[in-house]
Parts: sequence; C-alpha cells; structure tokens
Amino acid sequence: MIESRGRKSPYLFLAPAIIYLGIWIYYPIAKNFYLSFLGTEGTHGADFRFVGLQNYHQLLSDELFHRALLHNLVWVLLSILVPVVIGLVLAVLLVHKRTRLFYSAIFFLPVTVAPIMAAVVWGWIYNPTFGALNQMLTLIGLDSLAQPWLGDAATALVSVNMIGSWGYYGFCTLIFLAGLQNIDPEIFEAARIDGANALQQFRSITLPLLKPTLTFVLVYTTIGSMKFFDIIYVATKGGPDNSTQIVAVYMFDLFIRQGDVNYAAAMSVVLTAIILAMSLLAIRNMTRKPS
Amino acid sequence: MTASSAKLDQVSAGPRVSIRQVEKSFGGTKVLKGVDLEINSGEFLILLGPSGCGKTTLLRIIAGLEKANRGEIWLGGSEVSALEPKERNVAMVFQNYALYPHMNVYDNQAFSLRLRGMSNARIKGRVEGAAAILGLQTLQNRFPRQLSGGQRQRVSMGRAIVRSPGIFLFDEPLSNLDAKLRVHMRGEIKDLHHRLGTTSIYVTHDQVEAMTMGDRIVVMNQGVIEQVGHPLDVFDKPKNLFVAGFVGSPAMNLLTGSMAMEGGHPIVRCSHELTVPMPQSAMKFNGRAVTLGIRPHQLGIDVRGSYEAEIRDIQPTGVETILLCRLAGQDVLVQTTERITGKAGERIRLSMNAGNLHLFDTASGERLEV
Amino acid sequence: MSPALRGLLTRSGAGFVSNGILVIFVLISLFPVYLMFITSLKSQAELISNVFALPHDPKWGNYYLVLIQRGYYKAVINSLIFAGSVTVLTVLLSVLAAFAFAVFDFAGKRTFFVLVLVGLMVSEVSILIPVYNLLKSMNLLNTYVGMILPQIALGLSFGIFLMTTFFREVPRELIDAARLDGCTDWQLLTKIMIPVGLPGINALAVIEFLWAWNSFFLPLVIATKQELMPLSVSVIDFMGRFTFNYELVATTCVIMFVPILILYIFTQRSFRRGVTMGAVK
Repeated sequence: MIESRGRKSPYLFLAPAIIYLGIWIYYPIAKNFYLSFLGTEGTHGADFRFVGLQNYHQLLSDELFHRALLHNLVWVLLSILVPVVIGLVLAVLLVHKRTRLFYSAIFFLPVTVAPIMAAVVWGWIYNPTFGALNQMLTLIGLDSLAQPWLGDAATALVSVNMIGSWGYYGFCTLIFLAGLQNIDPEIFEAARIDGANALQQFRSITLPLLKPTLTFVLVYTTIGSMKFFDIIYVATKGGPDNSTQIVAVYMFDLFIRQGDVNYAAAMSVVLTAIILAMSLLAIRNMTRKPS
Repeated sequence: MTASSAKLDQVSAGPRVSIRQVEKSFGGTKVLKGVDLEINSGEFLILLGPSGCGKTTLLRIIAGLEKANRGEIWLGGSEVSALEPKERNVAMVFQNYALYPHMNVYDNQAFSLRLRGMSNARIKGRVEGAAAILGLQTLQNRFPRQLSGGQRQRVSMGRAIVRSPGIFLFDEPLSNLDAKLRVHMRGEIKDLHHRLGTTSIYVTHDQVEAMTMGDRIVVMNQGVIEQVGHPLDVFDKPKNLFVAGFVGSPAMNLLTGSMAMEGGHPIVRCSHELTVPMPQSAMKFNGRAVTLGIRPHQLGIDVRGSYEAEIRDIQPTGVETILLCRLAGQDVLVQTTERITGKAGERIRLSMNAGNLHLFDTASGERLEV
Repeated sequence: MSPALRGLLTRSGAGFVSNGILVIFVLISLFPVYLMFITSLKSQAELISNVFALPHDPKWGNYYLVLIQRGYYKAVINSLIFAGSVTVLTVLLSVLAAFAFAVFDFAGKRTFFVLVLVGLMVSEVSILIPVYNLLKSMNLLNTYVGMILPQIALGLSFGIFLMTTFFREVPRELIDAARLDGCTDWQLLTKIMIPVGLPGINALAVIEFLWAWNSFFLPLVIATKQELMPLSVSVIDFMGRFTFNYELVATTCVIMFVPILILYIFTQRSFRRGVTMGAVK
C-alpha cells in the first residue's frame, strides 16, 4: 500500500467516479428526499408546497404499499430458497467432477438471457392455451395441475419468481463452485480419514468454510430482490389483482401513470433506507478488505 | 566477463547510509523503536532477525517504500526521508522476484532505463552487460513464467544492476530457492558485490547467509538493534542472551544458575550436581542470577569429563552428530564430528573449556565480561 | 451383501441421482432458449399445433421480415452503440477509482468506499424522476448520450468493487519494484497495473456489456423515439404492436440473444472470473 500523506493523486484517480456517482446516484437520492416532503395537495397544479411528513403518513396507511413490500420479502425468501439452494446443491455435485466446466457453462447460460426475454419466453411456457408447461403436464397425465400460472392470483407470484430463479441459479452455481474450489481438498481428505460421511462433511466443513461466499450470495440476492423490476414489469405488470405487485413496479406506476411524484419519492426513500439497513452488515464485511 | 562488465557505466562504491532515530508504527503496533545505524560506503551489511523484528520494514524505509513516523534517512550527504523511491537511486531485489509478468527478460531490465529516457543504444549496452555478468544472454526473449526460480532471481538482479544504483537492497532474495540453488546464488551475489563494490543491504533470517555473506551483521529483535558487528565477532561475543540464542545453528546452550563462591573460587551453580568453575575475575558477580552459555560444538564428549549427562536423542547428519542430552535437569545440545554408536538412555561424560563459556546476567540479558 | 459391494452400490446409486439432477438442470437451462429458437422459425399455424418439436418447414424469412422489413437492424446498431459506450466508460472510471482504492492509503478511503458501495443498493426505479429531470434540463432526452450517461452509474459501483478486488491481487512487490524503477503514479497504472490486470479488465468489460445490452428500464424511459431504441426496448415495443405474432417476437428475441451468445462462447473464462472474483476472494 502506498502511503500518501500530502499526495494528491489517489484523490485525482478517485474523483471522476465519485463525481459521476454524485451526479447520477447521490444527487437523485437527495433530490428524492427533498421531493418527499413536498406535495400538491390543496394547491393548484405544479405549485409544490412543503407538506412535512404527509407522504410518509400516507405510506403507513397505504395497503397496496404494504402488500408490495410483503411481496418483496416473499421474493427475497423465494430467491434464497430456490436459486441459491439449487446453486449450492449443483456446485456440491459438480466440485469433484471433471465435467464441471461443461455443466456450469450450461447452467450459466440463462444468466446471459436478458430478464425481459426470459419474461417473454416464460410467458409462453406458462400460457394456459398453448403453453409448454400445461402441455407437458397433460402429456404425463397430470392435466389436473394445468392452470393459468401467471393469470391466477394464487400462483402468479411464485410462477413469476421461477422466471427470475431460472436466470439466477447458474450465477449462484458458479460462485459456490469457485468458493468450494477455494477450500483445500486436504481438509476433506482429513475429514474422510476421521470418518466423516458426506453429510457430516457438508455440515462441518463445507458450510463453515463457505460462509464468506454464502454471505456474499445472500446479501447480493437480498439487495437484488428488493430492487427487482424487469421481469415482473414485462410478465405481469404487478397483476393479476396486484398479486405480483412489488415496490419498484408500484413506484414506477405512481411515477408514470399517476404522476404522483412526491408520494413515489417518499416510497423510494423508504425503499432505499430498507435496502441500506439490510446491507449495513454487508458493508462492514466488504469494507474490511480494502482498509 | 570483465570486458562486458566494463560496458556498464562507471560504478561507484555508493554513498554512506545513515539511519537516525527511525521509528515506525503500523496501526498501534510499534515496528521500529528508534533505530540508529551507520552503513559504510561499499559495505555488504546483513540485517538479521526473526520474522516480525522490523528488518524488512527498515529496508523498505531506506528504499522509500514506507515513510518513517520519526527519524531521518541520509544517503551520502543528503537527507532523503521525504523523497520518493525513484529519487533515491536505490535498487531492490525481492523475495518473490517481482518480475513484470507481461514483459520479457530484456524489457524487465530495460524498463527503468526507458522511464529515465535513456537512448535505446545505451539501454542495449547496459542490459547486455548485465546479461553477460549473470549468464542471461540466451534468455532475453523469454517471459518470467518460462523461467526457473534461479533464472528469475538472476533477472531480478539484472534489473537492479543495469541501473547502476547507489545502493542495492536485498529482501530475503534466496528464501524461495531450493537448498542447492541457494548455496550457488549466495556465491554469485557475493561475487557480484566484489566486482561492483556497491553498498548493499541484505535482509535475511538465515544464519548461514548472514555469516558467510556479510561484512557486518546487524541483529534485530522487536524493533531494536541488538548488536552490530563482524559476523565472527557477533558469533564469538554475543552482546546479550537474544543474540546468543539467535546467532549460530544449532543454538547456543543456555544454562541458568547463580554465581557463588566455593573454597575461594567463583563458580556458577546450576543445580546441586552441576557447578561450573569460573575464572577468578568472575568473583565480582558473586550472588547474581546468571545464565551460562556454551555452543554445542564446544561441549566435548570425554570419558574424563567432569559432567555426567544422559543421552535423550541422537541425530546423525552424516558430517556431524547432534546429541540431545539431559544435563543436571536442563536440556543441552552436543555437536560432534564423531560418529556416536550409543543409544538413548545411555550416560556419557561431557567436558567444557572455561575459555569457551559465555556469561550473561539473567535479569537484564546483558553479557558479563569475565 | 458384502460391505464392499454395498458401498459400491450406494456410491453408484448416489452417482445416478447426482447425474440425474445435473441432466434435469441442463434441460431446464436449455429448454426456454431452445423454445425461443424454434418458435422464431415457425409459421403462425405451427405455433399451437407443434409446440415442442423443430419446425417442419423453417421460416428463415421471419428474420428477413423482422430485421430488414421492420427495420430491426437499427435496434441492433443502437444496442451496439449503447452497450459499447457504456462498457468502455464504465471500465475506464472503474479502473481509475479501483487503482486509488487498491494501491494507495489515503485519508477518507473507507468513507469513499462505503459511498461507492451505496451505489449497489439503489434501485434504478428510485432515481428515475431526478435523473429524468436532469436529462430534460440538459436536453438529452431521446439522445444516445442521455441513455448512456445514467446507465454507466448503475454499473459503476460494481465495477469499482470488482476492479479493486482484481488490483488487490497484484503482488505488492510488483508495485514496489515499479516505484523503485521510477514509475510515476500514472505510469504505475498504465504500464504495470493495467497490463497485469488485463484479465480482470476483460472480465469486468464482458459483464458490464452483458448488463448494458440486456438493460431495459432506463432506455425504456429515456428513448421513446423508435429510431433510438435498443433491442431490449424494441422487443417489448414490438410485442405491444404484434401481440399475437409470437414467432416474430421470438425472432426479435433471438436477434437480441445471438450476439450475447457469441460473446459468451468466446469469453467464457472472463465471465466466470467476473462473476466469481468479487464473491470469493
């Protein structure tokens, strides 16, 4: 590490990025914060005035917002239960295989597919009349299970989450695989000599040593789930009956269709605050490295 | 070889180096606690000490890679403490060679000269000169990953030589090489120093390197200099218990006891069975807690010896044999060129020559001159 | 049954199960992509009568229709300009900042790094209105520049984080050697760190390119004129206008996917490195 008492250059190298983030990230956050205290109520048109915490009060009683937030949390949970767990299992199955590069390359392919494309293609797969899923169920005699997956409020959220999971488990597989390959194989050999079976090895060696990787994936998944937008916007736009409404989609709707900028700003402040709070621990972990 | 080395620019013996009251902390840990050191022009100086003693930090401060918290570094007649590494005209050879992986051997050496704006013709002359000295002629187009450890080390030295620096700094340059190559490179570095005569500072934790290569050894421990001197002087007259225990391999035997008088003669009493007579001049230390030091090769196996010991373990190395013995409740090592046929558990008799004994004050660790 | 035989059987049984799981996920990974390709070559009539199988009579004309007659080649060009510019500029800014974080020790470093990480946590929807108004005041709505500038910010925090991890892998001794050899800070960056860190820079570049190519939200809001739309927005735009021409929508999807597929096949190692580096090291 080059010590730089009285040296300007690290700041010069840093300046472009920080100024850039300042304009396009920090300033918008601050601007939202400011906007969230304004409102148009009681006045005419665009004549904004200070309304204090009124927008935040409204959030407290907005049931749709609560539902959207709940859906985000469900989304976090599903994204951990499905793609993260699948990724972990696939990585464990692959780590000692010579074909692991081949398999993991194929598992990663869906990650390269644009979310909107995944939404379009899976929209067809889920289609109640000609969709591949229902046809396949009929083919194997399970036609009783066939249903309008995205059209039914009961199944829509899980179904749309599966689209996201499809584009994510390969990412988790790759990361876990790298994490597992980082563990010294001699440790497993030592455990085998000590008489540990596969499950015991997984519980007492793989999981503890994989913890940093696991933490990263969980944090990354959580942040991504709270910000989620593209697939839901294309696949269901929050419907049916708001059963897939999540905060980002609701916020976009407020911005664009209803033009309620100040209310949406308050919502974005709350969303950002929630994500920041959830990531606080992670930030601590991540900043320990460069200091 | 001499002809080609003449192609290098005029080499001077390099400046004197003065280190004055240098202190350095990392976080809350004091790594150097006020180090003073004078290094003569053209000298080959060894910084020796266990890991974490501050020797590498001191080297990096001389190079300018770290800034001292306090104190001054003088090169020649000028203070350089505030200068950048490149303004100090020093070259360094690293433990991991630190060759630029994306440049071939020639470019690795030419890099610093190009940065200085030297003409291509002159660069070529210098690199070829260094190549002739180090035997790198056929390797110039190879990349570091295509070289063996010894070859990399040579390129790393070539990179230092072509600059004709005022000072060479070596940071444990041989510790990644296998034993055989290490012996060979030791000779090459020493030979190089004879030829170029440039002031060199060499960090190592290796006893043999320190003893065989240095004009002087600086023994460091926990951020302070314990002793400075000619290798054999340090070996023969260690200034304190740390140096006594650290310099020399196998390590000096240290027996704790107290100075007493017996029949008008001073003795060191280590236990009931073990008393060692001392010269009359040691009388002045009567009553003190002392530590008696004797090197393993100076403990003789002698049927008429005055001390009985029990053999614990026999370690023959072929050239010599090292015995681990129990002597009056304390472990001692005995080093002998004889082949020992005995077994563990057997008893032998040992003798020691009063002239080979070292006496230290147990409390302060300082050497007591008798 | 002898223990040895039982052991053999359970082991091959476990192997059977694990290979079965792997094959199932190979199918799950590939099926939607396969479906997209075959659908793009079908006729309207075949869409419902033949969902799974290859088309009886591949309609390559769908591609001509979409690319040339519907003018989709323009969207391809737009996407190349958009994703290319975003990638180059993001990598540039990331490399500069990561150099400072990875190599120097300076006052406020931790604070700045936390500030950078905050960028990872901001939803693009959250910042829409201020960004939109900013672009409007700069007269940049419906311009390439207007699409490119804010998109860079979305990938920049990740880029800095990743490049910092890469640069920290460069051995300290190499940096020391370069400083002793006379490098200025700028030369240290351009002559040592960038060449040595090139695999990392490639990894970052392919990931940022993938993200920008696939990104949808900002271009959707900023590029409302059809001649500026990148592929992502065009696909949705096309879908809105030809809802029931699935075969043509599939064609637009394939056109969008093929460049990424080619990139993925040729730069797999970079993808792998980019995805795993920040997480594992």
